Amino acid sequence: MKKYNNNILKAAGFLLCFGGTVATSSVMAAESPACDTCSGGMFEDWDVRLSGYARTYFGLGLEDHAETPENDQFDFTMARGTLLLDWGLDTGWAFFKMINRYDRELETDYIDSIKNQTSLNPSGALLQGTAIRGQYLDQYNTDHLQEFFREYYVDFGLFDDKLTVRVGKQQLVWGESDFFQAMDLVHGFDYRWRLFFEDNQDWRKPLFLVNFNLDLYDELGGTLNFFVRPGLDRDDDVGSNFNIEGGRWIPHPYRGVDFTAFTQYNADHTDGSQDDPTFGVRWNSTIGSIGYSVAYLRTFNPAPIMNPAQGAGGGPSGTSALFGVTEQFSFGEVAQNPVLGDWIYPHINVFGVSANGYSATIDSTLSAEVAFIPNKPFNFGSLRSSLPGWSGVKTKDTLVTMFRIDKEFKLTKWLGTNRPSLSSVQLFDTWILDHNDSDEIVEFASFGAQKREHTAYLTIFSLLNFKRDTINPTFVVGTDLSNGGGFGIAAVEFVFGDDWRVKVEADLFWSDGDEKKTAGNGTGLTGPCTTCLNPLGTPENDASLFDWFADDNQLVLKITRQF
Amino acid sequence: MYKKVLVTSLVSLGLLVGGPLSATAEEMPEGTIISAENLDKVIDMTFEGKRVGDMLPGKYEWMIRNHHLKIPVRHSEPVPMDPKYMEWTQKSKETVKFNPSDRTVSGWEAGMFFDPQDIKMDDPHAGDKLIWNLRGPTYGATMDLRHISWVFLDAHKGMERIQRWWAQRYYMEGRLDGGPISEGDGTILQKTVLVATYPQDIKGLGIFSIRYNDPTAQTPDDTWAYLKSVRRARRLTGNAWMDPIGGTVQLYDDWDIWDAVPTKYKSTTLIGRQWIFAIAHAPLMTVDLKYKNTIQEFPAVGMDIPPHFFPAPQVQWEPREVWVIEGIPPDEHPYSKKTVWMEVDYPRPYYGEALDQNGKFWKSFIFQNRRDVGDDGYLATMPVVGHIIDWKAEFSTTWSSNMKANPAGVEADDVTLKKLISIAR
Repeated sequence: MKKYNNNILKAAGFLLCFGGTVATSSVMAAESPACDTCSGGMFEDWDVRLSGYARTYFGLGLEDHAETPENDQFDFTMARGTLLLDWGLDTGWAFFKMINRYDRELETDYIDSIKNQTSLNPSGALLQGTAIRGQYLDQYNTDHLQEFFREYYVDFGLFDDKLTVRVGKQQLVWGESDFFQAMDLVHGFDYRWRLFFEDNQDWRKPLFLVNFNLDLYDELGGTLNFFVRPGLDRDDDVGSNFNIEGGRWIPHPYRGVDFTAFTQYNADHTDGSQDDPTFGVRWNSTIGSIGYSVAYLRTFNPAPIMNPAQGAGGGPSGTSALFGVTEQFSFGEVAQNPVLGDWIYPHINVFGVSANGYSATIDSTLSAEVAFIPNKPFNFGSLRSSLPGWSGVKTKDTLVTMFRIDKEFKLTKWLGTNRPSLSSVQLFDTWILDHNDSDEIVEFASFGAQKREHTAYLTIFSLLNFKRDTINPTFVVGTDLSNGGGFGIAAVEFVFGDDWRVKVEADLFWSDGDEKKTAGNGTGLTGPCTTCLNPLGTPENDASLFDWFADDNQLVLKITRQF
Repeated sequence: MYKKVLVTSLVSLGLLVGGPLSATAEEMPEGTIISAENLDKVIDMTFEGKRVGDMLPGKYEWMIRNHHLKIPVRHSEPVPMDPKYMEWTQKSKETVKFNPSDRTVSGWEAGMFFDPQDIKMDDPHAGDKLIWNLRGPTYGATMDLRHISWVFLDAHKGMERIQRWWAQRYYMEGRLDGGPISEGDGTILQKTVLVATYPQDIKGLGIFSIRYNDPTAQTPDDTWAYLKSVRRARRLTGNAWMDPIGGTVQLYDDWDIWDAVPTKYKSTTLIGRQWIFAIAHAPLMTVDLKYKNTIQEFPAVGMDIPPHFFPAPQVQWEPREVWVIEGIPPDEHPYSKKTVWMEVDYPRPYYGEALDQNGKFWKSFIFQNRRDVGDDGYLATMPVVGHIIDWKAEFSTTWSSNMKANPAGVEADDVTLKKLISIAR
């Protein structure tokens, strides 16, 4: 609680500084120059700009989900409203930016259904009288100051702008990859409300950074970007959210299960404390016409890792043992949660290189990215239990590689597009260098499929533009080459004048049939249960990423009024 | 008696024959608005001694008769170029060499590559030489396309939407702003940043491109797009030079009606020299921010008059003598042919036309130009409004800008990818 208040105070302090600077400036009162010949162009001196949008989203599930007794097909899974305000103030010597976002959701029939399920299953029973869980709208709604003040920072230059500095809550994006992250690891992502379909600026989790850019074009032909995250963020702001708290995007068969009922996030872990600074440095330059970057980054492991609870004497906790876990080892320190353990985001070091260039021979743009992560943490063990991966944490040297070809196809003659269509093929591979089957490493704790030496995803997208970019279809297909399954997105956006945008999207998944099934008996937390399902499903060893979302085909309608 | 009859007959004959001639010789008054209503009446009149009909090039007459183009006429007025520009043009005569085998040039430092006074109609390379002139810095070493907006205009419905952009082009060669003539290591001709600022969904979408100083045009442009939606710069194809700008009907290659160096095209041919009505003295105010987001913001475009995309009635046209140059782009280009009508004394395009891949008339380009004095005193003549009209779609994206030559304080480091990202924030 103390920490929570501290964060509010930190934010308030920053806002006071921001507001105070603006309010106390006499220049603020000056009229904007009416201008034919005034200097500037983009922002005139002391120019304030406000833009943004009001947006509504509707998600419609296309399939029934086994976890709930109701037929969920054609139920609304999402009814969301968003107001975004994008402020910019240029004072000449500094640029202030603030992005406010306010989200609100209605409780749809589907959310209501999984909420009911939460109250029926053992996790809900466990929580009677202890805490309020399964309040799924909490994770979607804006209910904290720092969520509303999504980004706020000031830019200024030093030494004749040779060094530019950005201080405040912001997004810093490194790397080249689409859909997946190799070097784009400064921030975590919030996969809870929309999985990975939105523009990633909307689900990246901004952090408070002090971010420097040193211009060394004249001396060395490039720029040096380095940053420090001093550790002023909320615990909730680090790492990615995989919907452990339950909701519409927790993987199957866990709809209706709130894992925070018997686990907890721990942002104070010795090896992954939010309070500890993280930092990075990146050199960005060109060799001839080849652009390249070299970077080092200390950050949080993007996926949460389970640090399992231990029972007396160092064995599995009582609850874990009940679910078939035979051995458990703490990672660094003993988990705070005595039932099943803590979700932590251990610190990792990332060494990355990226390159891009255009080949006239094949008229294509080529991009590549390699990131080496020594000692990357993975959960392992207890594959045949109801809690696979819950034995503890192993670290492995990991190499992430991306290679991509972008090409523009001139389809005007055949399809009537108004400009060349950008198409892209990307191969994204994660290679565990000293992989050994006996390590029993899993992709994510709770799913028993062993992580292979290589996990490779192939993605293809194509963007089409018709009628001067007023009708814009997009097609995306991705597949897991290592484990099977994949996803497809077919979307079309309609542009109406300056103000209105409407997007219709079909998100489709397929799997290779290895989905983890819900279990029909209630072996688990409260002993035999004839009226509910085992929330942890049937033990299995096969479900991989696209099996988790096998029944999640959906339609989404997005209507935006921008200003 | 016979003599009297003979004289009378000769006079009558003279009246019969000379009548029409004297009618064509009638001078059309300044201020006349050439339109579909009076075109038949004025077409054989003269203006400044030239037949009016002969000063309506390409599709002018078709646009007047069928699409309500109106041309208010004023007398022509010389537009002298900056003395430094002309001095360097004379110096270039001693150093610039044209290589007919590959259509490249060498030895250029500043000014025009070739003195237009020396260009002859029978020179088989005249087209290349004139387009080389166009591809140097023609209106200042640094171009600030201040307040530039593309307005999407439907011929039947009028204004559809507005896109606002921020753009600067910085020439690394041929600079006549008082600093070095050449900056950098000589490998780069120019750098351009173009960033959308409105509306919200494209705000922050931008392009940074480098065009190399390679007369063969074999070195592709380096182009990056910044996509604010993912907060990342992405390398683009080196062929982006022939792509449309955003969702507009204008290609990057239509930047100055003709943006490519001659060697990017299969051929460029000088096909004529003529007088045309053109806009060389556009209004001083072409974007009036007091009326933002209304058609009054763009006083030089007649947006309230169907077909909504021609120059406004206040814009006056005057006789200008031009070269007519025809270019055949590479096969992958959207056009099969582009024709430009460009001032004879200096490289300033007034009008252009483009044919589609089937050889059918597709687009016309009407550019409004005017004098601007740079912050350093440089005398520049530059386009401030560009009417790019897609006749197949009966749609135009017409841009307007309070263009500025050689803005003070802009340096090479201000037109970079870093700058693009900074503006796109």
